[in-house]
Amino acid sequence: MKKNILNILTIIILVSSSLSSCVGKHEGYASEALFELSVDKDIMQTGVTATFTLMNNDILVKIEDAKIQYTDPTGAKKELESNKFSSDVPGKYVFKAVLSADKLESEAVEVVVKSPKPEKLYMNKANILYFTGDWCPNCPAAAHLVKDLQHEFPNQIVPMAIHQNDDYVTKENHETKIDNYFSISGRPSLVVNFNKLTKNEGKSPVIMKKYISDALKASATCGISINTSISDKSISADVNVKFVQDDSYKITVAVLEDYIIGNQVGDPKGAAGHYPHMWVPRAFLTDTFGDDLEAKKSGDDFVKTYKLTANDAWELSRLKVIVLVSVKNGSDYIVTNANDCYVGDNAPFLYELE
Amino acid sequence: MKRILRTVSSFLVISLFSISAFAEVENTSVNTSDETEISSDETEATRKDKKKKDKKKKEKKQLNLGTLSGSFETNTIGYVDDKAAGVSAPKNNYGSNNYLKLDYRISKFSAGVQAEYYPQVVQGYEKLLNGFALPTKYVAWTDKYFSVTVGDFYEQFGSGLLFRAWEDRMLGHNNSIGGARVTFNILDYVQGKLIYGVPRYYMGTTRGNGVQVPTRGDFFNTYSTTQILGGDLSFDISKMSGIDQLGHRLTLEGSVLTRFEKGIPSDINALLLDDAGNKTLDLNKNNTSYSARVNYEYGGFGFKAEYVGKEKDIFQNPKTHEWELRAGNAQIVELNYSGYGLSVMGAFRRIDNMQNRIFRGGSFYPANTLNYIPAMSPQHSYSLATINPFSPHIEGEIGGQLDVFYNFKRGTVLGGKRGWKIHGNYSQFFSLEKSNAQAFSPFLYRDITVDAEKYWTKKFKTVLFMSIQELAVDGGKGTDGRTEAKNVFVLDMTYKFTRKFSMRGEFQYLYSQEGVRGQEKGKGDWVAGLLEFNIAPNWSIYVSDMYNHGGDKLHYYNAGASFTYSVLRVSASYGRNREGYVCSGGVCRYQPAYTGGNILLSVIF
Repeated sequence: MKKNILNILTIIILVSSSLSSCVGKHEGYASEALFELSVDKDIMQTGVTATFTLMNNDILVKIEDAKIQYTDPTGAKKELESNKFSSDVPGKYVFKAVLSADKLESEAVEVVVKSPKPEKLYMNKANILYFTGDWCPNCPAAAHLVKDLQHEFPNQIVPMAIHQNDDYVTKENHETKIDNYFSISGRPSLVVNFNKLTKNEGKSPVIMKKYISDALKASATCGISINTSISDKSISADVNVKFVQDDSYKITVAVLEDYIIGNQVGDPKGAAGHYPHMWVPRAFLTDTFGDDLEAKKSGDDFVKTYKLTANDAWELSRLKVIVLVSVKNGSDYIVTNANDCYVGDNAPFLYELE
Repeated sequence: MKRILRTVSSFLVISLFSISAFAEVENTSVNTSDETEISSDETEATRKDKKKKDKKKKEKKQLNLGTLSGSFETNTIGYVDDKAAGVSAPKNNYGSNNYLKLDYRISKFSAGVQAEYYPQVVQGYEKLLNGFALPTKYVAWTDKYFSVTVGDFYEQFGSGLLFRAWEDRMLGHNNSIGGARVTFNILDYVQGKLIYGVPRYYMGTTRGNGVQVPTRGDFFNTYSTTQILGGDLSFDISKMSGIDQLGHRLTLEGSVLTRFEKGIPSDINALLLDDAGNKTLDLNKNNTSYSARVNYEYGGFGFKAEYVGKEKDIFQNPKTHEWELRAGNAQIVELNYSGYGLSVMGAFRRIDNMQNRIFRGGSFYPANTLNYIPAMSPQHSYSLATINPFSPHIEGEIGGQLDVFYNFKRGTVLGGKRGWKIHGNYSQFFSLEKSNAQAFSPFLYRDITVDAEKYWTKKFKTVLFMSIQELAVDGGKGTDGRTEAKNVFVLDMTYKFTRKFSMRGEFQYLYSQEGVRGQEKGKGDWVAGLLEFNIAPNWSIYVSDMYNHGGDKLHYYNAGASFTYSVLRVSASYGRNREGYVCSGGVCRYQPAYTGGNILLSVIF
């Protein structure tokens, strides 16, 4: 009797087991391997610095191992000495990179340099908080949307990633504070300019475009310039804000890191541990939602130098200083203008372009 | 080759059998008629008695003030900081969800309210549940052949794939409809429902920047701004044709639902202009979906089929990330047989862009839904079998399940002296090719479960349980390619010492080489145990522990007791609870680990 039962159980277990794999599949989909050149600004003002990034098979390439050649508006062919580019001559510049070892050539990348309009009205930039986590399978699609928006509104978006429960959370855990402030309970989620009304669970491009275009359409209340320098691991950022509207303001200054390579669920590169995490805050040099600047009048200036010593784990060449100026809106403060620049570069005041 | 064999074998079986897993709609029609039929063979005396009784009843009725019923439930957790688990308590160290429900009925009239109070919602629930509100309030008239409800109500058409408004307090879900419902029944041949209303959305919404934004509504207004109108008809063909007399039951059913979004589509349309100023998408404010169903039963055999279609609706192409307009549809075919101790149920389901949201764009919170698409796999209760739960790929999936139950009767060759029960389930789904980033239909999830229950003596019972689970890390999006397998084995033993006192023990083991959702967390093997003492009918006391010995080497201990007396049920527990991920409708929620004490109290009167 017992033998029969045992036999049946054994057969069921064996049949079931043979139908299933007891071990999961550890290889992700093959991601498209290519040598890729990208730039952080498609359209920019004269005198602003653009930064190039090179990836080969999802691995960051050192600038010494490649050449970046470009054609200027006159048709002359030139070569960059670093991954930085700046010009005072308006026009279209076309860049291409060649990987020295393999003689691989990247697709062409265009940068359009424009002069400011003569009336010199400050240009608005908008901040996007991108709520994510390396465990979140739907988040890479939202990161893709933020990148699309950066192309659609060139040099006018300053994103900051807000991670949760992974290795990219700041030591002081500013992220939880930000999560709680916006009552974020689902990822991905995107918030424009600290405005609670723009909280957008999921990833609707149409709604995001509306939020961004509405934010950028408003007249600028201030202009922001950032001059940064780095010596050994000491980072210094001179921030200058010029106000053109009477109001109460706050300022948030943070250091972000781009291209932190690691795991990410929901992306073939991430499955192989090669996902580039962008806009990851490393430290806040002010309070999370800004230090009080009190009431400012049109024509007032705010100048301050912020200092920070970089952590050994941070890649200095990928660190970026971002400045968000927010204005009183009822009981809250919402971001009114922003600017950013890689550490070691300078970001001048930005004006509406020709 | 192995995969092909697996697929072919599973679908061959699935095509032979099917299941009836249609969730039954709550039957709200109550026959309150006072008419009583008197059989012809009743004697004069009994008739007189009956008349006297009726008279007394009527007298009583005149004094009848109706009945008041209701319930109160609180789920309150006190949190503590737990450095070892890396968790810190939220503000004020507590979370509390509270519900008070009152229903009053007199004759054919009924009315009711449900109040909800979240001074600070329990962690893991949507933070949109905030404050105090009266989200449910209704008055209803229920007659023999019709009913009318004005206020907030729950409803479901068919399996819920087209429309379902329901409450699930464990999930914090409630999308009840505030409006009006009429139901009618024409001589049991035709039954119908007509509904109109506004779906609830957490504590209400406001319109900000052109979209609906969840916010704390006012006391009564917990609604979204979308309106819905729907109808459902069911024809009992077997009654009409008289074949019901031969034991056949055949019904043909159909439903239609239209939603009207206030504002959003025009806002979206304004943005969907290409560079030349032409519209790239043309969204209607109205979106209509419909379904047709057939149900057949004869003896122990049952068959159900449902087709659901949806007008063109907004859809993000997973390959290009572009938004487009695409119609949606879904099919379910279910077959079941039950008899002679054997129960076989099998189902096939295909869904294609069939999510039906209260509003498009904006928020994708789980309660932003008008229909119900659950994962078609067994709902496990053993703790290690629920570590990595399946969620359906709502944009498109195809697959099925086969469920077999057999009772080996006592006294038979295989049944032995006391008999035993065996249950098996095989479910497998693939992500639909057009709903993911790949050019094929990748694996989505599979569960093979076998459990056997046996009484060895009058007092001693065991359950052997095995579940082999595998799921795609990317939830079917075709963007990752990795899968995670968890193999769970459970031995569950119950011993009845006396008629009132019993003891139950569980030993669980999970074998795995992967973590949870592509992470290192929860990686490797787990072991768990539970010891439970039951003192019938009032007390139950338990201690349990889960230990991830292949991973974080933390003990997730728990101890608790529950007490039931008359209308009161109280349970209290204290322990460390593991973190988890809940993904629904394209949004993932990280449910944080917590350590603390939980009090669950409910009073039903």
